Amino acid sequence: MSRYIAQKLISLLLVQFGISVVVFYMIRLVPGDAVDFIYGLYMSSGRIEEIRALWGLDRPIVVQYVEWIGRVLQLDFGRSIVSGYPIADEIFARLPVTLHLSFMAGTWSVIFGVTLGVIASRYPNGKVDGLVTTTGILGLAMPHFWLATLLVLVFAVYLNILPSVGYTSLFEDPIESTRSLMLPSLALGTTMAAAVMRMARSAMLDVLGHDYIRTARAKGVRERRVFSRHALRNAFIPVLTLIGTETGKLLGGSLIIEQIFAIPGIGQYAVEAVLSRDYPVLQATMIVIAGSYVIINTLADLGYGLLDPRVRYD
Amino acid sequence: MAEAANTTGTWQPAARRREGPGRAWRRFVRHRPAVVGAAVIVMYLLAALFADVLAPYDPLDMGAGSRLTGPDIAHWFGTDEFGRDVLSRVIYGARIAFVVGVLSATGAAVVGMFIGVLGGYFGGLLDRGVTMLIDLVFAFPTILLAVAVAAFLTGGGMPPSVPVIIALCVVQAPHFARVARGATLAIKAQPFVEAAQVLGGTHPRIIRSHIAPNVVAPLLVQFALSFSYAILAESSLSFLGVGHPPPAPSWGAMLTGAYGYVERAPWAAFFPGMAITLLILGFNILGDGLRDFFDPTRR
Repeated sequence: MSRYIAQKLISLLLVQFGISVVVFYMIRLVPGDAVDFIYGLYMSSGRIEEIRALWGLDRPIVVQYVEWIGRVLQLDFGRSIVSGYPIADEIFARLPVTLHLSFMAGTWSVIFGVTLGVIASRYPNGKVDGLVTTTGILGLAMPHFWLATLLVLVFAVYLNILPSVGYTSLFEDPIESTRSLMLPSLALGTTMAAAVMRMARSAMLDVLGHDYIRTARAKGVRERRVFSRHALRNAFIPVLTLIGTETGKLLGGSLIIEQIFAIPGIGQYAVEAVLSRDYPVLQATMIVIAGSYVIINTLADLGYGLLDPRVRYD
Repeated sequence: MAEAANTTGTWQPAARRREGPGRAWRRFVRHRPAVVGAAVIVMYLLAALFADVLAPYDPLDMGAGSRLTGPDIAHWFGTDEFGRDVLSRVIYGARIAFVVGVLSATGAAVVGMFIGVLGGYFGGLLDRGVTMLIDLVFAFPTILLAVAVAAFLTGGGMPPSVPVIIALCVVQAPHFARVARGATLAIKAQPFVEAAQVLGGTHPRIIRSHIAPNVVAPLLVQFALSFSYAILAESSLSFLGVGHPPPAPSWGAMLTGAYGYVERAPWAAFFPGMAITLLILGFNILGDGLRDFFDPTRR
């Protein structure tokens, strides 16, 4: 097991390194270069060269990378071009908000997804199953932002029971905080809930077809116990893996959801950076979001290895 | 996710005649959900092709009706904040969706298949490189990477569709590469490939006539999934403001515009979203159907 963990951690480091290289070099994709793009219109070429030298853009690219990654490792992401404030401060303030939102969305998804998926597998092709399968397919097809619009329309505009924008911190007012994230987390979590539901259903059906389930039934184990002990435990392994990867995807979805609901998280910061061409901020947010995404996926892998001994020996 | 392993057992050496098109068609038609999915897609395709005939108004015409009128006989889906006809814009939006979907999924399929087959066939260092490349792209949440690539590419004087298509190619190609690589590894182990090698078949020839035809089936499932993902992602990018800029009738951009006054005119947001959902539903159902279709254990 410790060898398995070590392997996973080494590949985690490698991928993190790869991410940093991609993010760093991506800025070179800009037609012209960033300095041209930002200052080109209203500054003389001499001044532009000065700015390049100031940012170190005139030095060899490998040197630039090493210096940059050195600062990033000390959590110094530089300053925003637009606001001039240190990026690290913003990220520390915003990351907890995104994690809170993702956590809530993930919680909904797991609760609804697993429960409904298991109920559907109890009576395959029945009414509940039909409903679950249909919502599952529908949930995967709906874009986040459309679902968000519909939820706002129903719960904020027509029923007027939940706020449609803004975020209250959990430490400030837990109830209001939960209320403020209700619609965003539902909109964000629906895709994941649908995926979990489909996986839970098919994993259960798969497991229920195995011989040991028939054996359990034949020896007189109660149906409830067959479900909870024999089937659910085994079906949960693939479901857990899916939950891991889907939780990571919530971070991507937060880009859209935070923008719609004006939630001051890291996804909103990234989108603002894209729209205002704030390249240092975009680099920093990409590093942080992709980094967290990879860490979540690695944790899911480790959990998988922990639950299913077979995985460790490949 | 489409797994190449689903199709184990269907690998065919080039010499053996494969199932004729007539029989395959009958088998496909028997799979009712897949047919429904295909029908929905064809409906959208027709809307895209004949948009200028079908759309009752010019999608950019701000004088099509008075502003923000609800659905009625003259404007089935109502009008938006500039008095443009929402139905016409939704119909023209299908064009953008299909252009982006077809080009990005095809591009991703070609690049991904090339990389995946080469890596799987030759193995060794090349395969290491391919796997690393795949893992690296998978390390980013797709929408984040797509937004970043599209944002970095825009502003170079390209038509607005190009950065979006390139961005979606970049995030989708690894999916194809992974499927193609897995399928290639499985086929390479088959006796008929070994036989071809023993008979002195060159690598390009073996890849062309023995590997490639057998890789296509699992890739087809991935193609349907990628197509629907591209449509969803295009609308997300446009929604965030890095896709098609206004006044282009992209479904995502329509939703951005409509969100600002959703209380007054919910129809302007409802119908474009409905259009996206229905089309993606069609693709997902077709994708599920294709997977069953190619899966010998479910015949």
